[in-house]
Amino acid sequence: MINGIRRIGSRGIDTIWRAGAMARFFWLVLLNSGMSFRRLHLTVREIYFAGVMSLVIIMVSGLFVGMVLGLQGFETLQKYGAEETMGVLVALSLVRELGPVVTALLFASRAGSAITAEIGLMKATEQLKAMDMMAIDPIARVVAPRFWAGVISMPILAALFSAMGIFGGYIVAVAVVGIDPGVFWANMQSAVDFRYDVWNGIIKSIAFGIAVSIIATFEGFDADPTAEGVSRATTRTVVTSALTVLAIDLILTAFMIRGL
Amino acid sequence: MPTLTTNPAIPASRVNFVEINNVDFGYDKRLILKGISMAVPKGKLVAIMGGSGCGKTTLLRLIGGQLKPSSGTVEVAGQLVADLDREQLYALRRKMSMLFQFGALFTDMSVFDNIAFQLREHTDLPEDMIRDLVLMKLNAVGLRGAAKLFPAELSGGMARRVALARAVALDPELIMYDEPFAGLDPISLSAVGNTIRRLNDALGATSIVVTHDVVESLQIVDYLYFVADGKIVGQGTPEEIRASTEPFIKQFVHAEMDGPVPFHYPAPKYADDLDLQLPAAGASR
Repeated sequence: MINGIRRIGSRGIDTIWRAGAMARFFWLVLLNSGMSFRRLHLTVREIYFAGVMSLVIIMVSGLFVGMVLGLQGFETLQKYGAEETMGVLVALSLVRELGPVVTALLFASRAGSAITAEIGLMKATEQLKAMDMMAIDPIARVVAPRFWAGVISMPILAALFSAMGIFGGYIVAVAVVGIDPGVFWANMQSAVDFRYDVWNGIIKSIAFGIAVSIIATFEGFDADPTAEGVSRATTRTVVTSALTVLAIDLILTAFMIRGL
Repeated sequence: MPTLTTNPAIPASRVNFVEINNVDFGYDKRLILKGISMAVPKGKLVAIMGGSGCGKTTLLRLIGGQLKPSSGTVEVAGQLVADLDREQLYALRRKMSMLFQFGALFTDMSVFDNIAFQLREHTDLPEDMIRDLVLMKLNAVGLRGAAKLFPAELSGGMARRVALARAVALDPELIMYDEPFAGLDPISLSAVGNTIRRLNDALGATSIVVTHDVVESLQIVDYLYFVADGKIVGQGTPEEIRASTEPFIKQFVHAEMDGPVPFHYPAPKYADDLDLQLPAAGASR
């Protein structure tokens, strides 16, 4: 009994300690971000690895999610004779919610885990220590460009996810269900508000980008310098990112919903 | 404090590039180094020797400012390392370099880019001049032809030599080598040893080699310190070390299995562990 309480206490303290360490790490990354913009090629290179290399999974997933939304939406909407508003359903679901959230989850799995593994292995093979001994700050040279690459890539990937999803919904609506293309687009255009729908989606994706990127870089930087340590850190990145993204989504959605 | 200068007119601090005075260091309550004092004169190649886990690498980290001593002082180029803020420490580190045990080459860069890394980060030299400098450094370690290879394509000995070339890329005043001979075949070992000596003399640098390779060290270094159980247990020139009758040095230099450094890790009696009922005289271990 006492041991059980002790273990819970110990895990609680460890979680709080890690949250504090991550906050401090986040502050250090912000302080050392100058190089990421002065030498933009460092950040652009990481945008290629984190963003461009994630394009296939994001776009294909977006297309499938959009098509599924179309099919599911049709089944429900036709009960009310409202299948012509399928474009609205697909667009609002993607732009406000699914685009940023699913993109962040996929980004954490594809790019976040890769960032953690790369930084963790650099630590395990003493590359970060070597850099520090060369009077080059690893946070400025290695971490900050990867962090900013994630923050910049996320909204763009989320936008592409939503665009592909809407295209998937369009295929289902027009080619499968037989809705008139003009009606599909016109309903969507009149129902989707840039400020309240699109802009809120962009804000969410930026917040998720910050969260996933700082978790991925922190876990790599904090990993035990062993094969097992790097493996554990990679797993933690995916799990912590997923939970954090969903928690932030709940908080942001609560603030963004009108009329509450 | 031990110092290698014999001229009383010259203050030790002007002769010694590195001075370690009465340093204690430990993780939590476990002391790794206990009252260590040593000096490394300018321009000399000094070896720190001792068994695995005796605190040799910790000493290099204290000199490089990666760790701070629990008590005592570490002075490099006349500056107390523990008192420096981050900017001052980085300014000092530009005068020094370190060769890590496994090279620590940047795996996403070619050999050429590994050597050019510091030149690009710390200088505004034009790219064609950087190219010439990198090729000169690679030529010094005999690997000019490997410039385009990646670290994964190098053998252990080649990787060590590339790391050596990278360590001297900015002509440092102090070069620290952490186990530079570990895991090398005899040819690579001799090549690395000779290169360390040649680079030290050619650059007019001061070098510290942490190693447990007695044979190679006695051939190339000017002075040796022996560390055991966190203390300096012996020191001297290679000739003095070869002639030493001090038990630890003798055991270490002649690779004797048992001596002041016991073969057995502390353990309960062997017979007790095996649950044997033996006569008292033959029971221990």
